[in-house]
Amino acid sequence: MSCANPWEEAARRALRSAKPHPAADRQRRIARALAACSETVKEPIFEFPETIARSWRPTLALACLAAAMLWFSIPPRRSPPSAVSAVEMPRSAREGMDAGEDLGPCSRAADCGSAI
Amino acid sequence: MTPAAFEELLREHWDSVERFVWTLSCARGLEAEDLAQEVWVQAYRSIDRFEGRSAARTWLYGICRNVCLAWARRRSQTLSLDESAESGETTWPDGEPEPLERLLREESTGLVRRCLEALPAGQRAALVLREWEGLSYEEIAEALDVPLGTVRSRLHNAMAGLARLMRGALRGQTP
Repeated sequence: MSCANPWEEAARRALRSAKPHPAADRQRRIARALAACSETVKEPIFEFPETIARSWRPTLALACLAAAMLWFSIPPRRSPPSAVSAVEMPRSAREGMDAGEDLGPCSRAADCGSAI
Repeated sequence: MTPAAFEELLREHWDSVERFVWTLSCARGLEAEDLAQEVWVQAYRSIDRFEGRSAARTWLYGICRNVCLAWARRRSQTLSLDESAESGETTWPDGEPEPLERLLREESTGLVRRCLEALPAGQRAALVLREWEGLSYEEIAEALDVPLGTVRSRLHNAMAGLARLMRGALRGQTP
């Protein structure tokens, strides 16, 4: 059973009849809005939320700083050692070579390369 | 979306957007015009994110709602300054009827408008989307970002409130 309030029905009719229609200068307003849109630069499709950006900004800066410090603290990578330098020469021997000292005959022929 | 397609969208929904913004914000004159324009600028900016899952008009009403809410927040901070600016001017749009008919209509329209503006904004928004724009309950829920049950209760309360206000106004009480 319907129990519609007559005042509500009257208010509904009045509301519907009072629906606003476009004013006379509609075209001017449309043109103005279109001009405002054309002056607008579109935002990128993905936009990092500002609230997150704000809260993460200091953390991000610290992380970048730490990464930079780590980068500069690691010594540059050395090239692979050559066959000659791989054998550590005794200091006395190095000094002797520097001084042009004759080391005397080889104790083993192979060491002098005269075996062949 | 091409600029031409956007312009077509704007022209198609211009009246609805303008009407909704004016009703929801109760702004008048240039301020109302700026608000409607702001809705379209926001729509233009975010058109790439519109996935078409909802109707374009529902999406636009959602933007209207956000723009009006932001405006209301700004306005609440400068309420005393805005009161004098909007007092006299009313640019409720209408057609061009005969003078007497127009006078009566303006009076009736003015009464409805004042009663409508006396309703809470949420009820007012649901009511005009339903009665003027013909949206379904589901579309209203989506546009206003509220549950379906809230739409039902708002519409019920809005119509009861409007009837009460209009009855009071006709009996000489200011709504």
